[in-house]
Amino acid sequence: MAQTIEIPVPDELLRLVDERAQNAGLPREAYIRAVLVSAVSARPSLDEILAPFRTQVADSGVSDAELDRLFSEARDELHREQGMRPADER
Amino acid sequence: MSDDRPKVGCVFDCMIFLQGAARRESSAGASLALVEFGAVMLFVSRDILVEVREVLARPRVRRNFPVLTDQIVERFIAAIEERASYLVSRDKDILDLADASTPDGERLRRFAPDLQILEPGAFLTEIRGRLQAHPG
Repeated sequence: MAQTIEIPVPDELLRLVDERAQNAGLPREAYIRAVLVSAVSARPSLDEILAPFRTQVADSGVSDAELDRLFSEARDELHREQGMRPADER
Repeated sequence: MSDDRPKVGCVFDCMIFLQGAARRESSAGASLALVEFGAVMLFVSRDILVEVREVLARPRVRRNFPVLTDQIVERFIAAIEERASYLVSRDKDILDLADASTPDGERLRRFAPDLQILEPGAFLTEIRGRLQAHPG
């Protein structure tokens, strides 16, 4: 069962919320609900868990294409060791 | 977004998890954020998560990104499991996690109360029932 609450929100804060919601591709209500869930739950967010890795990726200056190639080669290498063919050769 | 509208279900392949883990601002990262926000239902298989774990442990990946430790990878995999709607597996060790009377099962239930762990046959039965309840 869900309840609807009404709270006053300053225009500037609402502008920031809408900006973040748009970046996440979510409607305002869904974004606010997700932020609330994240804030009151004990579990860490994906952003928190991955922050060190993402920072190192960004700092490395690696391009999207280079990153794709690195992951693809690592995956194909794994498949070869496991006796599997890479997905694009199946 | 209405709560009573059936959510879009999605399956990500290994590369989406890898690219999304590396870059939040990528399309793959934004797709993972939709899972984080509960905007979509994520279906995962044990095979895909094992593949993600093993690719992120490859020496060539670790050489490029030494900050990527086993701990970060394990926390990432666990976070995906916690946010998934369905974990489909034939692995008995995984299926046993559905038993909340065990310590591991109880812990998983606490962090992922909505996750259903099913073997493929039970998964199909579940999804067919949903499709019949929400045709089209």
